[in-house]
Amino acid sequence: MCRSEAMRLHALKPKFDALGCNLVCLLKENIPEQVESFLAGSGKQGEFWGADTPLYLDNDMAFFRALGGGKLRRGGLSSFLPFAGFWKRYAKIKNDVTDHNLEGEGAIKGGLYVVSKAGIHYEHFEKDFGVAAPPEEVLAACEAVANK
Amino acid sequence: MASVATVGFAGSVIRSSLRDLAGASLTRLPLADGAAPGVVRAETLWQERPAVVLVLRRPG
Repeated sequence: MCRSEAMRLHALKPKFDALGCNLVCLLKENIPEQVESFLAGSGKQGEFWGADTPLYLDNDMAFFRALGGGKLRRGGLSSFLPFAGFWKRYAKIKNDVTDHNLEGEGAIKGGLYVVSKAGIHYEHFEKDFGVAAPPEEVLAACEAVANK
Repeated sequence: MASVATVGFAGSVIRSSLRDLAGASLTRLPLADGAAPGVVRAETLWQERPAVVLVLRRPG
């Protein structure tokens, strides 16, 4: 699910570049094999991330904490109940990526920011597993920042 | 941490403060064999241009 989210966002990199925006990804732990396969792998819509697109370890999980309103927010087992929205989201993207795994910490939720020197322009918190920032919203935020 | 939420683009609720993010310590991945890790302050990400920052739950 996370690789699909990254891949879909990374597919927009040429548009971000055209708008003058950098694209970076932050992780909360460094598992070398995971990092390697994330940077080298690809799915239906292209690379998961790509070796040339910046990838960082968030050493103190500051971004994860900020997205959670000052706390690290963990998802619970209720997300996986039979009629939970997770399964609908999973059904939509399950064929995007064949090479995936559950290695490492995966309960602390992430999200996405669009940031400039002037401030934070867009913030998306992953309210439930797999609830990614809508790409059109991210692009709209970048367009708005570019036009300022 | 910001005490007041504001509304960003596309109606997103901005609860974080730039100050909280700017000072975060980040290490460039993958780590190069034998070299000192490249550690930067987060604010360098958006110093020259705005940045889309994906905060990924897990890379697997």
